Amino acid sequence: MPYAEHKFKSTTIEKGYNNRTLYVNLSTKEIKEKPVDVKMKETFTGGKGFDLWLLWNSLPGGKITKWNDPDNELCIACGPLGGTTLYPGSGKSIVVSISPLTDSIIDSNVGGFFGPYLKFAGFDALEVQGKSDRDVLIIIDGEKNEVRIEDASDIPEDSHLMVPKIADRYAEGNPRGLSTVSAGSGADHGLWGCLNFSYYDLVRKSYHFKQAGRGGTGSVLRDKKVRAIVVRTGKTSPDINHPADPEKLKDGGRRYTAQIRELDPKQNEMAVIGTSHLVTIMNDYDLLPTNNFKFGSHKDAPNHGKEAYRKKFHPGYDGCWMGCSVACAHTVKDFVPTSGPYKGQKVWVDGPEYETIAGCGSNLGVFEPDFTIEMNFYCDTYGLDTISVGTGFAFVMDCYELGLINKKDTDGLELKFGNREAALELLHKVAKGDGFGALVGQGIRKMKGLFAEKFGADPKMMADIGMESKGLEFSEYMTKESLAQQGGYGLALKGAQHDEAWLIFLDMVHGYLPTFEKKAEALHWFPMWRTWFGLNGLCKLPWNDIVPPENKKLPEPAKVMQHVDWYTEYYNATTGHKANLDDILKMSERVYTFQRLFNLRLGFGKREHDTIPYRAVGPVTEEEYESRKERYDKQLKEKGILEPDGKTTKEKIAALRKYREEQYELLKDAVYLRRGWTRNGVPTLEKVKELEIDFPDVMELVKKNQ
Amino acid sequence: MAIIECEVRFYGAVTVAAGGTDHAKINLSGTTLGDLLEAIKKRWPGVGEYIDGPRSDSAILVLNEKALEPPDMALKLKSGDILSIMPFVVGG
Repeated sequence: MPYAEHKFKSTTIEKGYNNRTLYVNLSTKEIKEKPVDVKMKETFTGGKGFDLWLLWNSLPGGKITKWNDPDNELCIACGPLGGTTLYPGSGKSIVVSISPLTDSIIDSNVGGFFGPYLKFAGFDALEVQGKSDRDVLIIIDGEKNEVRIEDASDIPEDSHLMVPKIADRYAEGNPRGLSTVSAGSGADHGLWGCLNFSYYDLVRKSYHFKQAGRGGTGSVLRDKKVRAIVVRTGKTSPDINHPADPEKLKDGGRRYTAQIRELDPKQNEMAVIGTSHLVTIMNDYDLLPTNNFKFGSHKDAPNHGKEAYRKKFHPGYDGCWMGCSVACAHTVKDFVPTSGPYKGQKVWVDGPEYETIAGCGSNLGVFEPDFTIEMNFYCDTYGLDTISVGTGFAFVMDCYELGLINKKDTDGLELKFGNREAALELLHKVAKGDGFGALVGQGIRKMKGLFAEKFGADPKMMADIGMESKGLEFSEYMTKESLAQQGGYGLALKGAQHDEAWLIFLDMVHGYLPTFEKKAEALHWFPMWRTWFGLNGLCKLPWNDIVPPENKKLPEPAKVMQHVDWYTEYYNATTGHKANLDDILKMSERVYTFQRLFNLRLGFGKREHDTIPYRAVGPVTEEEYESRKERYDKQLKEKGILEPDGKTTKEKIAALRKYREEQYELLKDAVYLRRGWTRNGVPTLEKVKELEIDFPDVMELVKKNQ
Repeated sequence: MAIIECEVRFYGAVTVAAGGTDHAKINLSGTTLGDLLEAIKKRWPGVGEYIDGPRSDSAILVLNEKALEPPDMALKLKSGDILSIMPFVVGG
């Protein structure tokens, strides 16, 4: 007997929308539908926009909701273009919640079949609120037109075992028609929990996963005692979105697919090696995080790049949504872990992608693909974010090598860079919440306080080397020599993730951003454009990881304007609107600005929160300075900061720091001005009115903070 | 004529066109970027397609970490210069 049940009427998607969302409350067992009106679509478009609006309206007024408060929600949405099988990269789900790491809004864009299937089952978004008193499954059955909350006590905890068991019970002979959202046992014991979104591979006859990794959304799921959310549908067809102009959409999709198939083999080979091609580039340009972002390259890094993974990845089609010709998700077959509860068993490992290779590889001082693959497997099945684990473990190893913590503090683990056995053992301890692992699983921001309090570690040094911003661990790019990318991380709404803006090459190699104004323009345009993918259920990779002919001869090649135009056509062909690029960017700006205001509502979202640790800006230690002495000395001299000859390294570090920290503050001023925000980083009343998000409670909030 | 030694680095699918080579040293009997590119084309004809052939739209040239946009064939090189040929890089 289900704990709760709700029957719903079948709907037909029209121009990308069902025009309703689904609400599930685990405390009260209430399940209901909510209508989507024209105003909601016009203002928030869909995807992340819907998630934010639903969450905004569901939180109680007059108090600040914390991540583990029953009022917090986990929201998942697709978007009006999501679920299309004719257009590459059109199967994304967007997750929004209050993050346990940042106590503010987190969003995560993820592949797998769940978001499209939720939409095919009849809902544009899902809200899960409240907390269950026992482990449950939420079943959204688009075949039987019912939603149920059921007991999950006999369902395994770890995702690679859990999902086949769920499929045995609910797939009814159609495993391809079922998708799940789950975490794993590790998400029960720390704040780095991620969500695994499943998809069934018809050729390999196995379930695979993509992760909504950032910000601890898996920890939110487990805090609510949800083992998994399951969606089932028998409906998948090329025109299921009932687009306004199906022929135009088909023509556009065919054209884009053909271009990717022609050019990807000549460019980055994403369909063969995924994002692993970035490793050698980042290494050669001194951008590959190594030993907790101390260095940007290592002589052994080429052993850990695309050629290694070309041999490791199992051949075959690896799109995380049907019809995607980029197909960059890759998998390792019959991997045998050397440690932990699944030691000696043959398992599939989905990935690793660049971020995992760098985070759970070079940043820990390890350059062995099998180590990274094992970290990847365990992080996924435990439900832990590989980026936060990689950056978090790198911080711990740095603290250990600097003598801020010792072997007694780490339960006997010798956490030196390069010690792969110790890193794997620490991962299992984090997943179990065991001893020192329980501290580490709280994330870098909390670790800094805990290490100072329990072990007497130096707070100032930890503030400099703890690579988090707003509480979110940095993703895996070095930013010391790119002021623009320092802003790409520090001014990102959710914390240090590069998905708003990746400007390193534009800044350092192409030299397109020489002034504060140019940097600010890039830190406006790119976040606005990239936000749009998350509103519509799309992946950004087809946009600029495959570059069309003639692109480099255009005035602003980084914007890949041919593809921007194609996306605008795609949106119009689906929704029937007549949007131009300005309209598209305004859709994003509304949601982006609203998210900033949501942070403000939760007690953040001001200048003081847009900070980054000094290691993201320049060299903290003498060892770091000396490793790039020529570059730093040259900058001191050329900028007239200090004559380096005859000065000690300590003096040079201090002078460089003062200069670079001032530059970062000037960048903030320029970006806030461009975005229409006050010098304190708050959107102005005029901007809020211009964007038509001037709802009464929003205006009250903005007025209080001008 | 003076001989200078430059390094060339290939990335992405350019390494495939170079038969798996991702970096190499070249002793150059000329002194310009044009001389270096001719030497590359001679040694790796597949890479030549990325320099001025049918795949040239798919790659950029970068000298010592600075993109050459557009490349100046008369640009003087010196020993130790590093020329990279790579697809447009946009991050993860």
